[in-house]
Amino acid sequence: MTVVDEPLDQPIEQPAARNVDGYELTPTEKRFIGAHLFVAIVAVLVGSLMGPLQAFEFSGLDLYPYLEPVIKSYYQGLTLHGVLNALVFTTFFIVGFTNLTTIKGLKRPLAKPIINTVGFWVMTAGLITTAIPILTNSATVLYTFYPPLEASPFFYLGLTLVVVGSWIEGVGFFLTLKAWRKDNPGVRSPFIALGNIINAAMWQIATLGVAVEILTMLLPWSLGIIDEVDPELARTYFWFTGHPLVYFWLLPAYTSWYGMLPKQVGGKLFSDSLGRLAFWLFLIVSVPVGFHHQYVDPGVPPTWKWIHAGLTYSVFFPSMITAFTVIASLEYGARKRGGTGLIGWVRALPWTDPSVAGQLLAGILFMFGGIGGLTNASYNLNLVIHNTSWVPGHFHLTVASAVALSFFAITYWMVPHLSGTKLHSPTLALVQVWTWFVGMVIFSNAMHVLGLLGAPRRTPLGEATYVPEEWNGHLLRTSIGGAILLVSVLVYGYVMLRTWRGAKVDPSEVPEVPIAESVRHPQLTPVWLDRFKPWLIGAALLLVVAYGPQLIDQIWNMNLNAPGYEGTPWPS
Amino acid sequence: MSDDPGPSPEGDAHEHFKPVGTLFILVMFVAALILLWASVYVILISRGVTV
Amino acid sequence: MSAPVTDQGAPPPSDGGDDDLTMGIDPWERNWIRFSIAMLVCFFVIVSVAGFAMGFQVPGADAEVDPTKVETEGPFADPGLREIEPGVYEAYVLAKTWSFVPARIEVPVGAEVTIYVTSPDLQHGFKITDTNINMQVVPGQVSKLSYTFDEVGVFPYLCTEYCGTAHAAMWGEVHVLSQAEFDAANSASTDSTEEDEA
Repeated sequence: MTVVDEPLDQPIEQPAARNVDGYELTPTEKRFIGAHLFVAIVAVLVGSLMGPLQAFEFSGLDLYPYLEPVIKSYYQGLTLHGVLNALVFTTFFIVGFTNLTTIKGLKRPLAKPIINTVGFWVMTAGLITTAIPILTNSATVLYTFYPPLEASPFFYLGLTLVVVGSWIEGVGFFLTLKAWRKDNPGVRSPFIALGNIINAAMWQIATLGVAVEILTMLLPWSLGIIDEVDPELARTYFWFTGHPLVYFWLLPAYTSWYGMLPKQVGGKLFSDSLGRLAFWLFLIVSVPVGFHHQYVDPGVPPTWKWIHAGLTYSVFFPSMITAFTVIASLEYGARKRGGTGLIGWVRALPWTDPSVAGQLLAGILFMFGGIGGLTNASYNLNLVIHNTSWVPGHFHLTVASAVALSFFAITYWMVPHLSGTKLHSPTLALVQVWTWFVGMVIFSNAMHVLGLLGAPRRTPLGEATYVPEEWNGHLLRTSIGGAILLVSVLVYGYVMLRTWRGAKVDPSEVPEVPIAESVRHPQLTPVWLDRFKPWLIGAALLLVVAYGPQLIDQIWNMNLNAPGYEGTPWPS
Repeated sequence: MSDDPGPSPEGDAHEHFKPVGTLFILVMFVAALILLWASVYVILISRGVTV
Repeated sequence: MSAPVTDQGAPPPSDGGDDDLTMGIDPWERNWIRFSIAMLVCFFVIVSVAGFAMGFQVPGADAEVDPTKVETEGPFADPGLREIEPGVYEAYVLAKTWSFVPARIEVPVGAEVTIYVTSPDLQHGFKITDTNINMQVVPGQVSKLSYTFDEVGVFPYLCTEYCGTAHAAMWGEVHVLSQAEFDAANSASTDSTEEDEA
């Protein structure tokens, strides 16, 4: 590693430790949160192992024949990759992390632990129900499951249970915050608790779309109750959920970046008010943006697409706030650690802490993810990149870097905290975050370029017959990136296993939950930044205005007339 | 009383801390953003109208 | 009410609290926020002008069809290129699992072609390389965009949405021919058709 910790010119300001960390998790709570992390980490390890297979295929190294009878095709692997990483890993991690930030932030146990326990088991039952058809190759429909591709009913049922389970845990969080507020009138809600609970609220609104899609169309269809579907209406339902889904992934990373990372670098949250404002803005503008995934769809008038383009630009705004506030919080900490210069202070950040390094690298990649995202959102610019490999190139910088790398980094303190151990080999953990960074830079850049050249997404380009010679160099680069990422995944699995199964250490050596103070006392943050009601009303109103007319039109004129493909369209 | 230049509730550190490095990084970010966004815009324009 | 105690101890004397609309925001960050809004508005104006004034438009809600009848009734029953007036063409393309019908479209250079695509079975994608023609193909809906082919050459169109086993083999080509080549090819095919019929 070329980065080194610079010696401190002055001691880091030490907040009163007990005051910050006033509630110790009970063993039961640790086990409960740990169970979420266990599922999440197993999912991401299996799901990520599928990724390099796809990247290798691009340059002609087809390993799928060796994987039979487990994996029948590129597409079954791709379905596993998407479902396990983007749906299972994220959801289980986020709900587990929200349990932790709720309990540690509010310094109290859950109001009704039984609700959260039920939620967890419903999610887990859903995961198993979904996994069986995917593994038996009867749901090779990718994680967007666009009808009239038809999966086994268990696939749809399982996904429904995962979502319903997350709703149930969400109710557990809301009740806990409510109970805390009753005990602490007038006190601003602690940032890390509020941030993730706002995310839970946004998720409940956003998932209404996919719930309606599955319950009114796909599940009855796969059960044979109805014979045909309306694929365009299904797309509108799906993307009602599909884009806010990415903010559901992102906001817990933001909770860490705003509310925890500053503490890890010896700084403070630069602006408590703006941090909260960003989360509320996400609650309002995350959902009514889905038509930007349907810019080139038939069946949706350009005017509505254009309105959603404007709203998608608005959802970029809270991320611009985040860029300033988070970087300023880091700079504040770095300068306290003796950092100097216009940019030299960056080296004073504790890069030797893998949890910090991972989140910093995630943030760097996210800047480029944001640039790509703004491009995707730009209405007609979507004609250039829609359904090209640019899109997976983009979201490997966002969900697979900003989000996943941050989550990995968080587990570097969270797993030892929950297991009462020390992180096994911080050096290997640093290798993991840096290989992820380097691998993703190479992979994602090649995918973006291929997309601009016209390469389609979700396609085994190694076997495609139309690939021109000028793509080959970039296809090779995706494979090289994939190989580096494979190393990173294996190292991550090893470090996690050794940490989880490691020897118990003295409690003083176990990492604490980092909770950052803010520069300005949170009690000075206006009360309207601590109230759900105005923001929920705003979210509902905007949703009705921005989605209502077109959604009602599509439901009113619903044509259940697409039978799909006779037989199984994917390789068996 | 509100004009009293006494100890600020925001603390001394904030008084003296100007996020100059933050601004520098963000200026570079915006430059990259405009450059990369514009390069896709140029591709769009060069590929011809769709009406 | 006694002052609430938080993680950061008792709050300092209020510097405005709820009435303080500045929320203690750093003046530089305030300017960053203003700049961010201005930049996003600029981008939005630029894409809107390109879309609604310059003609870089996305597909819309054009027409609906019955996917179970589309292969036997209406214009998609006989897919292909039609000249509707000199230099102006319509191309009806059926995207089926796993091929495009037709898989080859020949147009003279400078032709203005309105392309209609639909699918009788699964969702597909229709993207012509090096052009701005890029459409999601959805059963029950007709995707439509118009484009003028100003350069001679071969422009592959690829299926860009996962549709099963042979998705990677689903593609076709637009051949943009010089007017002379196009006329020669066209009269030849017309002649042969006439001979066949005779």
